[in-house]
Amino acid sequence: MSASSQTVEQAIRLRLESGGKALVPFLTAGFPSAACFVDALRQTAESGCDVVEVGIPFSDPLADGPVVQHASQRCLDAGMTIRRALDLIHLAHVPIPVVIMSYLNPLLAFGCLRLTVDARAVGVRGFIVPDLPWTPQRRQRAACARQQIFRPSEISEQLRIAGFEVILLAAPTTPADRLRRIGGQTCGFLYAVSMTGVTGTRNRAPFETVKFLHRARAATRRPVLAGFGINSVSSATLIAAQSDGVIIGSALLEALQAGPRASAVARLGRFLTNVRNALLQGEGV
Amino acid sequence: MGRDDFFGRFGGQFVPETVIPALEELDILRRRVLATTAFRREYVALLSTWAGRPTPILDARRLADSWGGRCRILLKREDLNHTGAHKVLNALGQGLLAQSAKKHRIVCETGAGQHGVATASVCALLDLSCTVYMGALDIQRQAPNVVRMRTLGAEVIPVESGSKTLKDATNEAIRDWVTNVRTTHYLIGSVVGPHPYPLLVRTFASRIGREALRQVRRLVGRLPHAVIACVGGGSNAIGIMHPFIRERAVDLIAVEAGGRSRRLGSHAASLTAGRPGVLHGAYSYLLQDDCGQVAATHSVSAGLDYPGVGPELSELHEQGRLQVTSVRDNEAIDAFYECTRCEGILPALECAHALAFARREARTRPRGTILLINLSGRGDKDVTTVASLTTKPAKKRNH
Repeated sequence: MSASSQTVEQAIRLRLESGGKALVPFLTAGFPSAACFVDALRQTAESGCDVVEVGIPFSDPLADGPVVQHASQRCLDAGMTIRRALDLIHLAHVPIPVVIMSYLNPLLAFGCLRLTVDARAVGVRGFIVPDLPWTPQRRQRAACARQQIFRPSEISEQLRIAGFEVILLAAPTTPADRLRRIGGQTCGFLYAVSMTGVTGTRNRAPFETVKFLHRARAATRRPVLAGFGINSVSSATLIAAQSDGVIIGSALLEALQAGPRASAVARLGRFLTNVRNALLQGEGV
Repeated sequence: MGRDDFFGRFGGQFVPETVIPALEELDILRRRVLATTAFRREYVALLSTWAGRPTPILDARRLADSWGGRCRILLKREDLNHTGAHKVLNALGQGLLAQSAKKHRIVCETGAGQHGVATASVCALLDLSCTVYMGALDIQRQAPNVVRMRTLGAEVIPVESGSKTLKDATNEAIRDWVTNVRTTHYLIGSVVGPHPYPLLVRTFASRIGREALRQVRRLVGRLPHAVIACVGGGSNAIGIMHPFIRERAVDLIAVEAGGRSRRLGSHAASLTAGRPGVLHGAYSYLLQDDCGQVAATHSVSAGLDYPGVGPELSELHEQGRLQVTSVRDNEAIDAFYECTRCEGILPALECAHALAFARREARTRPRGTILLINLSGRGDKDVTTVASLTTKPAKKRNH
């Protein structure tokens, strides 16, 4: 049973066709508590988000800044696992597509086959694996077939075959030819890492970001969504003007961090609604 | 083009996209620069005049006698390197490489501080700016090395996240590198991390083995029966073992940190007790729980206190070429004292693990066996740790 009948790309296209920009929030599974996370997940859909990204906590999140690190550790201490995260997603039953963001090692430990079955059962549509960059598939497969071995890089191919949208990342440092090939291989959308750095840090070179987003949009037919360093209505409108939408993470976790459950979720809702409205009005800026 | 980022199924480049181009660049640089005469000449000249290489081999007679007198114990004296450990080989090599790539900022991680001190010294020599990430716990237990690094002009940043040891310092170093990748070279300290680092570090570290092979042949007229080294990430082990891999008659023995007990979290024996997983950019043996979360580790020696191991060692282990064993904290400390009292050499607690296992071997192997041990570093940094542990009244014996 699937909570949303749309794919990630369909949901984003629908928004773009109606003249808006896509808004994709990121929430760490089980943060700040299991119940609050479920409420927050529902709130994202109510605030007009198009797709929601659920982060699986990992002990060593290399691409994340202090906010996500801290949230992940707190959830791990409370016993969060992939299985529990899937249960919470099931419980929340949100009407928008859900994408899992996880580092590679928890996925490997969970097992690829079990992952495809269990994730589909709760309506997950796609995957983002920040430490599994694009590699030339032909080269990989040839090497593995020759030596008859499994390498973890194959997991993205297996997820794709199982019908999930595997969303690839591109960075400002990615050279043109590689960017084109990533743009051709990504499903759902192209995740443009808006700056060199980890999540939740301030963008110090907005001009570079603008240049990169132009390059990224020219390199793919998929929508281009920008993430990393977007923490306010103003930064979201600025970036959205150069892309097809934005991904916001650390700022939301910060909003959820303090206070009782109801007020934390309400704060999240207000923040997202503000961004949503700005992205509707800000079209064409 | 025979390129492969893997050793069998181990290795790879499991890092954020942002640094992939930098790794490609480094790989190209590695192929282009390392083989040139200019690079080699400069590297070798600095090794001999600045770092004091080649290091000798000591025929440790007193130690051999106290271990039953049946075996011959040869110690590769890596403790005699400038800065006190074999780490300087890799730090100098990568430092020169970074210089030729016009990267003027170096970032690195360190556990025991030996790699940090080597890197800080190389940066001073080559006029590069140096930032060292070190776990807050390690800063406490390796205080003298922190002072050395700061004196050499490096910025030492304490890492308070996670277990506050080498694993977390590596996380932070990688995050810094991801942020400043255009101007910064990440000078990784062991044969771990994404391709081409395991290959690059091994290239520099295997000088230990090439020297040792020559020296042992000259000294005893044959190959050793076994080569023994401690393993954290594995640079000193692969360094001394690499030239011996094709000599099938030579046993290669990796000694991991057995810590306090066999419980997950109380040791750092990745090859013995881990299973393959991805940490710090490579697929390799890893200490982890059932859900794929990286486990906490413990070892009395900060340099071995790491949940992962180099991918090449994982491959050698699976091929059956490498014998893997582990030694507990207290056994390593005993060996530390024995080496100190018999040979007048303070060994680092890391290689005291290798000595402790050599002692077991020396008592069981046939008469006349030759054991080559990598004495990977000096133990001056460890005296306070050892003193604080051994003055405790009830000293528990190993079971």
